[in-house]
Parts: sequence; C-alpha cells; structure tokens
Amino acid sequence: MKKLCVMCFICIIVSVGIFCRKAENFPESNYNTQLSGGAATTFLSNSQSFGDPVSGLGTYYAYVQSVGDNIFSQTFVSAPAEHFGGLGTIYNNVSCVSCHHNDGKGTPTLGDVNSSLLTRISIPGTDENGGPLAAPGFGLQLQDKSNNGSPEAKVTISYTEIPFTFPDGETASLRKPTYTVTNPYIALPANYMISVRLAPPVFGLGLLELIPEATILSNADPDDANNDGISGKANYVYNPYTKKKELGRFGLKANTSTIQVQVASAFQQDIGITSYIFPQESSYGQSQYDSRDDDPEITDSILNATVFYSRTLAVPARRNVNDSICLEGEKIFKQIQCSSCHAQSIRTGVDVRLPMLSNQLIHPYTDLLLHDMGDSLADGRPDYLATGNEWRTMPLWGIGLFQKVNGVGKDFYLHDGRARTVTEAILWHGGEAEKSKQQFVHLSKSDRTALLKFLASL
Amino acid sequence: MKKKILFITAIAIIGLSSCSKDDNSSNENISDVSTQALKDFVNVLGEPLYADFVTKATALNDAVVALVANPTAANQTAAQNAWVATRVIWEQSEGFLIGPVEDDNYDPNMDTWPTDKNSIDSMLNKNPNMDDSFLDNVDDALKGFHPLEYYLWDFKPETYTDAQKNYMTALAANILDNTKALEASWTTGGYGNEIINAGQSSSSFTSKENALETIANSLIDICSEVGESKMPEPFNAQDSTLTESPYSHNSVADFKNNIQGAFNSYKCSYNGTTGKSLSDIVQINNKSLDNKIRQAFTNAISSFSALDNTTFELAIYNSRSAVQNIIDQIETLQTLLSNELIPYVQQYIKD
Repeated sequence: MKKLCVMCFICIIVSVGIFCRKAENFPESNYNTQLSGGAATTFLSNSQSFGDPVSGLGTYYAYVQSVGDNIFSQTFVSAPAEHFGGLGTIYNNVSCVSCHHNDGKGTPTLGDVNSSLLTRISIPGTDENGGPLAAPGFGLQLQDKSNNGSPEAKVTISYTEIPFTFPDGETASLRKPTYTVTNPYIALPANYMISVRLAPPVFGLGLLELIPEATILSNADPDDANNDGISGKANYVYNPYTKKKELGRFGLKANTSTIQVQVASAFQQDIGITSYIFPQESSYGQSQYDSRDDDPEITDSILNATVFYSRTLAVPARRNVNDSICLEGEKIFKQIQCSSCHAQSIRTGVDVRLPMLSNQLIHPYTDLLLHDMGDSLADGRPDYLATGNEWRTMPLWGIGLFQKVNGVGKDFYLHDGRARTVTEAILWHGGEAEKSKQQFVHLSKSDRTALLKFLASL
Repeated sequence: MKKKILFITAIAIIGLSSCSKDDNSSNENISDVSTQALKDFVNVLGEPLYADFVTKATALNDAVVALVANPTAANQTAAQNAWVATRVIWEQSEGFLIGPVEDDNYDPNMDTWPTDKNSIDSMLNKNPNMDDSFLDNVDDALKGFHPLEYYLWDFKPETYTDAQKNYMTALAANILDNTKALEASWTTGGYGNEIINAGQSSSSFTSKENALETIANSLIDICSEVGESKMPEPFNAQDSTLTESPYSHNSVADFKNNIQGAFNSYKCSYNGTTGKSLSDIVQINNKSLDNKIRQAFTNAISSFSALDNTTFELAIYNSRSAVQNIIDQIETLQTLLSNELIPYVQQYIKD
C-alpha cells in the first residue's frame, strides 16, 4: 500500500511537472532571429533564394513539389498541342515564371514578353457575392495579349517624376504613374475602374495560409478603437471552390482566401488555362472565345501540384541580424510604428501533414489586414471590403533580397512597382501610415540609414 | 609514467598549435585564391565562353542566310551543324546561369520549349516579311533555338515558303542579337567586374564568399534542372514527345554539355585554359572532397557514353537502366555539391 502511495505520488509529481512545462511559453528571445519562416526557412541568399523548397518534405511530397516547380516554369502554348496547350485565347503572359521572375516580383511593364504587371477592371457596384462588378465584355481583368484575334486592350504607363527633399537636404524622386487603356477591342464601359498590380513574390505562402483567422482578427481595429490612427480591417471574399465567404489573405487587396484559388485564378486569368476551380475560359462570351471542348486544360493533379509548390517555398533567412546598425534600425522600425501594420512575429496554426509549416513562430512583417494608404497610392477600385484607398500590408520578409532575385537595378517595390528603392516606397506611404512616414522623413540621416539597413537584412 | 604523460601532452600541444598555424596560413591563402578564382572565372571562363557563343551564332546566322538564299540539302545540313555547334556553347553556359543571362531572361528568349506551332503559322500569315527585331516582342515559344530547329530538321529545304525563309532568317539573327547583348553585358555592361570586385562597394556581391557561393549554387541548379526535370520528365512518363530538342534529337548532347559546363565552372577550365577555381579553394583544406567532386563530375559525364549510339527519345524506352544510371549519377553529384561544397564555401571563405 505504501509502495502504491509512493508510486501515485511520484506519478502526480511527474505529470504536474509535465503539465507545467507544457503551459510554459518558450520565450521569444530564445528564438533565432534569422529564422524568418521558422522551420520553413532557407539559408540561400542568392538569386534563387525565393525558390527553395522547405526542407523535410519526404520523398512523396518532394516529388509533388518538383512537379509543381516544373509547371511553374513551364511555358504554355496555343491549343491544340501535344503538351502544355491551352494558352489564351486571351492572356497576360505564357507561364507563371514569366511574371514571377525567380519566384519573386518581376518587371513593372505591361504587355511585353517579361512584363509582370496586370490590370484589373470593373464597373461601379458589386456582384452577387459582394465582389467587384465585371466590366461587360472585359471581365475583371484586361488581357493584353491574344493568340486568337484581338487582345482585350493595351495599357500604357507614363511616369511623372516628383522631386522630394528631406529636411537634411537629401533628395529623392518619386515617379507617379498614369495608366491609360488603349485599343480596346470593343468600347469600354462608362465609369470603368482599373487597378494595375505587380506580381508579388510567392514564397512563404503556406505559412501565411496557416495563420489562425482569430490571430489575424485580433490585430484588426476597423474603427480605430485604440485611437492610434491605424485601423486594420479584414477582407472577406468569396471562394468559388467552397462557395463560401472567407477571410482574404492573398492578393494585394487580400481579395483571395486560399493559395488554391490564387493559383487557379492566375492560371485562368493570366495565362488562359482552365482548371477544375475555374473550368471556363476567361474569354467565354467574347469574340476571342475558342469554343474548344478541352476544358479543364490542366488536370486536377497538375493544378494541385502547382498549389503545393506555392505552399511549400521556404522563406529566406535574415542576414546581419547581430549587426549593431541593423539592431538600431529595428528599434527605430518599432519606435516610428512601422511594426503596427508590418507585424513582426506571428505564430502559425497546426497542420500535421507539414510540420515545418505547423506551429511556427514566423516574422512576415505583415498583419494581412487592409489599411488606408492615402490618396497617392489609391487605385480607386473597391475589391470586396477593400476601398479604393486600402491595400493589404505587404509582407516585408525577403525585401532585402529583391535585388539579388530580380537583378541589380531591377528591384521594384509597392503594388505596381512604381518605387525603385525602399526609400521611395516608404515616401509613398500615406493615410494610416502618414505619421510614420513623417517620422521617417524627420529622422537623422544615420537613423534613416540604420532603418534601411535593417530592412535590407530581411 | 608522469614523463610519458607530459610527453604526450607536449606532442598534443605542438600538434594543436601547428594545426592552428596551418589554419591561419590557409585562410590567407584561401583569400588570395578566392580573389584569383573570381578573376579567372570571368577572364578564363565567362567572357571567352560568351565570345565563343557570338562566334558560333554568327556562323549559324551565316549558314541560315546561305540556306535561305540557296535551299539545298547540303546547305540545310551545314545549317544543322552550325545549330548543333551553337547549342554546345549555350548548354555549357548553362553550367553557370547567373547574372544577366538570368536577370534579363536570355534563357526563355532563346531556349523555350515547346514550340507553339499554331501561333507560328498564324504569325507567318500576318507578318510574312518579319525581321529579327519583330521577334523581340513575340512570345518566348515563337523564337529562339527550338523554332529554328523545327524548320532545319522537319522541313525539306525545297519546300520552304518565303514567309518561312524570312522567319528562319529572323530567328538566326535574333539568336545572334541575343548572344551579342549577352557578351556585352559581361564586358562593357560590367557584370564581369561585379564578380571580380565582389565584396567591394562597386559590386552587388557583398563578399567574395557571396560570389563564390552563387557560382557553387549555380552548379547545383543545373544538376537539378537536368537530373530532376529535363531527363526524368520524359523518362518517367515514358513519353519521348516531352523531350526538349525533339527535331534534331540533340537532347543527350544538351544534357551532357550542361553537366560539362558545370564541371568547367567548378575547375575554371575552358578551351584548354585553366585558372584558379572553386576546385583549388576546396583543395586547400579538403583534398579528398575535391577528389570526390571531380570524380562525381567525371562519373556523371562519362555515364552519358552509354547513350552514344542512340537518341534520348529511343533511350527512354530501350535503354532505361542507362538513363536511370545517368539520373542517379547526377543526383549523387548534386547531393555532394549541396551537402559538402556549399558548407565548405561557407565555412572557409571568410571575406
């Protein structure tokens, strides 16, 4: 009996001990600050650093990833073709990689071979799901190429340089784009609205998809109840696959809820490739429609592999994390409230199939919420709950590698790539970010340099 | 007994201190060899190879002009040979797809697969008199090596239409334009200096280590492209129509030249000239690793000889164990480069 008591006592102590340990949080300071993507971090810091698969996938998943990788860089051709047919008949580019250069951002031009900009279009009002209202004869996106008749339209850009001088005399120049729709194949509807957007990097998406909705909503403050001038609003968007309204996480206005819909929509709208999610050609009902009975043009498994590829690209590790100037810059980043929207640390939820994405402390530098960014950046085109002034906070992870991934002098920032440097990108901030921008402008030169050095380490 | 211990301790101390002395001297040595390896990478390999590319593309252009002017079987064969000779250089250059070739999309501009035959037909109908600059802004699948390959192999020369002749002329000239621009991007465009000046403020490479790791990673990338994509796709699907150079049946040579190009890059060797290289850097601290890497390259390249008398299109059906062996050899090489060369570069190159 005595023995039994002792045993029980020991068991209780041990289990209490275990519970205590479970409840304890591992202090954040003990994490390696290099690991922007937690276990889904890659240590590549070259041009391929956005295209590295997460490690630990295992043979089967690694195979699916590699199939998706090949599809991502595959050029599609016009139908009928022995392989990879179905391009168009209206489209913006011929492969995923022709816009997402090295899985990153591409070139802010329209209609060229290596152009990475696309143009969304709609007319005032909303559709039955609360989304933007399609422009009759054009849909929700202008396809500026066609292999079967006329492109829907061409879009031209002209930039006006706006000089800027810091209080300490340093100068910068902001190029303000004006977009003009030309050569529409039929008359454009009155009051049409356009939004020009640059292809964003595709790494780390699986982590962002796994952030619990409650975590994202806990940062939202749509009515600015805490009076800090920064609201943060969740977008709720229609998912054509689940046929439900869901929290928007992807796209520059958070107008897409899942990677699956994002990828399928890019296939259909950007390349003209139909799939089980979007089985109808984007040209349906228009003069460019091919009437071919070949949809969906990619098999379910090919779409799924491409989705899996996009879900499992690792996040590049930070460099120079212990550099004293970088650490100073990080302090300033928080002091001037950049981190109010560009949230530094978030924990992902659980996915037992992919432990490297699951329950990870990550540093995406986004809250995935919509913020009013001021009139200068506004596109004036609402997208579900996002107003014409609102944009989703862009993740900043990897921003220091844009030049590596896209080439020297070919790093572009913001939703349409108008900014040629990080400084220009900051100077374009307005609306809820106006106060932070003003503080940036009034920093000493050395503090600005420190902040930029910190950003370059991401 | 005590004396013995003292003696052993003394030897151990001497041993350790001499080790650390060696380390210091080899670190200095590595720094110097790294500097030279970056210079030689540009002067012995990169720029001469791209210059050769222009020479071969010029010969291809001349051959196509001659074929179009006089469409005989002999002129077609000469143009085919010029095409194959140009491919050798291009595929070897893929052993280091870094810098402008990657940043400025030369690869998709010149080497996109498959060929979009429907769109080519409609383009020729609409633009029968096109020239090379017209091709700058057409989709990737309508220009470069493979459409030209299609016309050089799949058509009888006497059947070429005028539009097809114009198109072939434009294709060859467009390839030549691309090779000239690519060469210039290293010389006058300054990419060569970017590499040579790695670690200085004038270069985008933050350190010599950064530049050398980039070169080392490009070896892995081409192994991955050949061993995980270009070869296994048709092989696993058992579908020869997925092969990349389907008209000339040149794929075996393409693959082999890719790996040869990576080996050239590893040992900085081109056209009989050899410079300081990653191989020399590895030898300083780990001769056995250098031997292993060289052996893995040699094994991968020589494994192609099993396909000397066949085409890849046939081999995926008839020589499956030989193809599987090549894929395995490339995978072994790639794993070795990933698991041992990269950590070596990161560990020992300190500036």
